[in-house]
Amino acid sequence: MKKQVREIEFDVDAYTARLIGRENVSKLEGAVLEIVKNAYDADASVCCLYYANSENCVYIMDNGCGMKEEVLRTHWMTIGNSSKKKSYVTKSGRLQTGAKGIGRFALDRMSDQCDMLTISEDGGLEWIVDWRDFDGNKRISEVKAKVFDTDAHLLDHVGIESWRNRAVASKIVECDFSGTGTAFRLNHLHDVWDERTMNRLRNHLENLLPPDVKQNFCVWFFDDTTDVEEALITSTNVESYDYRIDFQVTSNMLDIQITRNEFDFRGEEQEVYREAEFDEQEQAYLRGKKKEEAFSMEEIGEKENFIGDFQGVLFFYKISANKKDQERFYYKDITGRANLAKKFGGIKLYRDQFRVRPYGEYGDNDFDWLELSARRNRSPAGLGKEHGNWRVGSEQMLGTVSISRKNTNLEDAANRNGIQEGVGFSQLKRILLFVIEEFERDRQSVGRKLARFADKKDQLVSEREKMRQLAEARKEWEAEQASGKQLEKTEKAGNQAAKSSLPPSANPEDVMNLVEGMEQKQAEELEELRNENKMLQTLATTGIITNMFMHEIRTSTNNIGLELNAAYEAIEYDNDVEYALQNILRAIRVKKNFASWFGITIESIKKDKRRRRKHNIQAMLKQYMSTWKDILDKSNTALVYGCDSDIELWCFEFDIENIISNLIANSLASFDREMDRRLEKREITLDISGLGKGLCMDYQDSGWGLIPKYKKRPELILEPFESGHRFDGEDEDHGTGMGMWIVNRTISEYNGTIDLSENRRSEMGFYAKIILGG
Amino acid sequence: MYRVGYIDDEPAQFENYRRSLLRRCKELELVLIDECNSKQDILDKIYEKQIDVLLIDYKMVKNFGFNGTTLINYINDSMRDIQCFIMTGVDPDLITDGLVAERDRYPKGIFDTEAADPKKESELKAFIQVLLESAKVFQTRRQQKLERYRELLDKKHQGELGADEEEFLELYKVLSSYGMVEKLPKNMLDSKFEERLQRILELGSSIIAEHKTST
Repeated sequence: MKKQVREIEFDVDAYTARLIGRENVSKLEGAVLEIVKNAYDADASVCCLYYANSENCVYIMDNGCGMKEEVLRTHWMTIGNSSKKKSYVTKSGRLQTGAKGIGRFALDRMSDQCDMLTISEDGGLEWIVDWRDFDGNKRISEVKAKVFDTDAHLLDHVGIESWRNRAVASKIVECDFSGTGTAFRLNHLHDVWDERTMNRLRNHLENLLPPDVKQNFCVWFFDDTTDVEEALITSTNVESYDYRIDFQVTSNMLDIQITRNEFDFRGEEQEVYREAEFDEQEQAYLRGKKKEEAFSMEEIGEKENFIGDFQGVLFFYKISANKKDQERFYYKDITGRANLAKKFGGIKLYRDQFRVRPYGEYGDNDFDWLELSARRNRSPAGLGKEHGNWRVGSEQMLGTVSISRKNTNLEDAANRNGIQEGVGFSQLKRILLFVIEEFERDRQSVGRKLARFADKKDQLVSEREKMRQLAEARKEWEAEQASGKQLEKTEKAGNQAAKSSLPPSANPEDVMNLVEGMEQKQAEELEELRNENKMLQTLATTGIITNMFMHEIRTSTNNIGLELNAAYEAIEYDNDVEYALQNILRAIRVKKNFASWFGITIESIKKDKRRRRKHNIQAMLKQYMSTWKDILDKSNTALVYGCDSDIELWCFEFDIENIISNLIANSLASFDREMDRRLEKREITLDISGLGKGLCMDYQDSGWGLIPKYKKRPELILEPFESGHRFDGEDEDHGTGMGMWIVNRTISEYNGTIDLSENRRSEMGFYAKIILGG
Repeated sequence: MYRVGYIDDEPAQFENYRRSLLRRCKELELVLIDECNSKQDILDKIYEKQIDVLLIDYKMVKNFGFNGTTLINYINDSMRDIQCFIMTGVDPDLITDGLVAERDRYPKGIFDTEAADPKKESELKAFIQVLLESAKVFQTRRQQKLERYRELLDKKHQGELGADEEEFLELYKVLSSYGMVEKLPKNMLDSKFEERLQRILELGSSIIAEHKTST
């Protein structure tokens, strides 16, 4: 029997409400994006974010429509109730992007205290909240924010008169902040707003609004020291590109316009067009005419359009091209191109002119959200390949895709991190991939023609082709001979065979010349590759050493700066010329120290070291060790070396230097490893003796030895990417793992061996016995 | 005047830093912590030189066998309140051992204001402000400790120290090192000392009483 019916209300713990908000806006950049979005949705033409370094607080201000008390109460103060849910077109016609009613938690993500002034047509309201009030065991309805009526102005609320950055403040004053709008002062910030944070946020803001769109909305972002030019955010744009692909999905149709901007025929247009067989239409495309294509949904394999109309523009942007390809495919010169993907991002998604993170965000897992890299791995064919499809790399494809809240099946994920997975999002990805495939097809059709033309131009290739044709004809002739029909057919064979009834055959001299030519070309290419490989190994060693001694190099740079600055201040403030003079002398001494670094890094790639010749190892060693002397002296390391005077070896000078440099660099890193006690001795010993036609190198140091990971199996250090250097922490590994791999490769090029077995037996020190065959 | 301790195994820039600080803040004096061979030596010097805040070089393995972050860990085990900042020649973000918070790591280049470049100047001034505040906080906390010490000393005199003895000894160690309280002989720190003293006093009183009655 039921009696006493009662209705009990649900309630929410205040802390839980706050947690929900935090889950939704977990990153600072997400919080800033929400706040700028709110300003845009309020029809503002200006949004200003100022971090005051001296006060460690943030001021945010927009000149939008502000909030009336009713909106403040029923929407702003009611979690999950957004005024933008039902009506989302603003007075000026903007489509509002927010709708979850949780964007205000962005403020909680940024700071503990928030003081807001909002001015609407009805007048001003000041709203103060301390988000820490949500902590503890309160229910949400018990948490209160204070609201006052006020006649204050936006610029007064943010105290613009006392802003340290006067230059930007004067520009802000010129903006229209005299009427309605909203201004915040955020105290007790949760993040350290240092230069790194500012740069990170600036990059996000630059990508917040799509490029190429004339906006009636601008964002200022600055701190106490930002210049005016830098403070006004301008959208990152793609200024140079190889291909531009515009596309629009309208109802049941997909339209694509492809613009080629990659090729430069360097005045040989007519020859290339003729020989590579580009027809007139193709020629027009190569001159920059847009190639327009249209497909129905059915033609691209879609049943129907689930998402509605959208559009976008994609850019193909090569970062590098080798010389051979540049000539073969007539690429335009792209020297000095930076990796634009880092600044611009990859393929970014915008909803009603606002960025939907994190798609295309460089460094994020969703940078390559269309999985272009995996696609390319599945089909790695080159551009000119007759068989196999060329695929674009994820860092080569940039662009923007513009969707709207009017699109269906493309709702924001609740955590503000992307779009909800489902039929709509899958279709969006498929359509984009189709557009990209169309571009790839276009580019490869040009690439194949140019590759064929290049092969035709190459005399050896054409000779080889002639021989191949002859061989084919001979095969045919033999087959016909066997069937007794050879008589009439022989005329069809190659030039030689056509004049007589003799079987088609090649002139032996021609064959010899061809084979010799091919051998010579192959030898030249091999030599070129070998030299390139050597050069790369040396450059890698230079990089390894520079990386390993970054601390010392940076310290020297810093010290020169510090000494010069101290000299300046001594004269400027104290008139102490004597002290300034001492500073300058010390700076000169540090500068001399730099010369030693250059000796080991830059000098190692000198041209004369790249010639293989007979070297007296003792003379070479003496000269090379002198370049290490200053560096070793500075790190209190003793170097003891000896070498038989009569060792003569056919070698590249930088091969021997690479081996020694990598070993020494490893020893110095081992000396600087932090252990539970101080290292007693810092000594390196190198002894080189003759062995048959080659040499034997005995190397050892007095360091801490190999780390336990390699102690039992020291040969592991010869494998690529194996590294035991811990510059500082337990987890972070700053070694490149390439040094000993290079040593091992170089040794094997000299038919040599490396024996590291002594390391298993010795508790301390590093040991290597290297034999080079010569 | 607040004293900023500077620890570096190669302190070539010490004098430049000292002048740079003093020019911008008369209240801060940079003091070199030198002639030390171990972490304990360094800790003793910090007490001896009455340091209020510390700047510590990161890379010191070559001459000390340990890095600055390890040293801070050691110092803070004994002196929880003193604020230590790591100074490094490389990017402070490369220090990833997790022993010192990011906000407490600064590049040495912060002292290079590039001939009064406004941005560099403001960065250095902000850093100096942090140093000054940290030093003030440390002194205030020491002052609070002194008050607590006096409270416990009274209890000790009355033989009521009990469970607070450990705290008393800890406070005595820090405050006496900084010369803020009078150094006491070791046996006087013992909790039994007051009892023994009381017994001696009582014994003395009874002898006097006995002497009085006999006369």
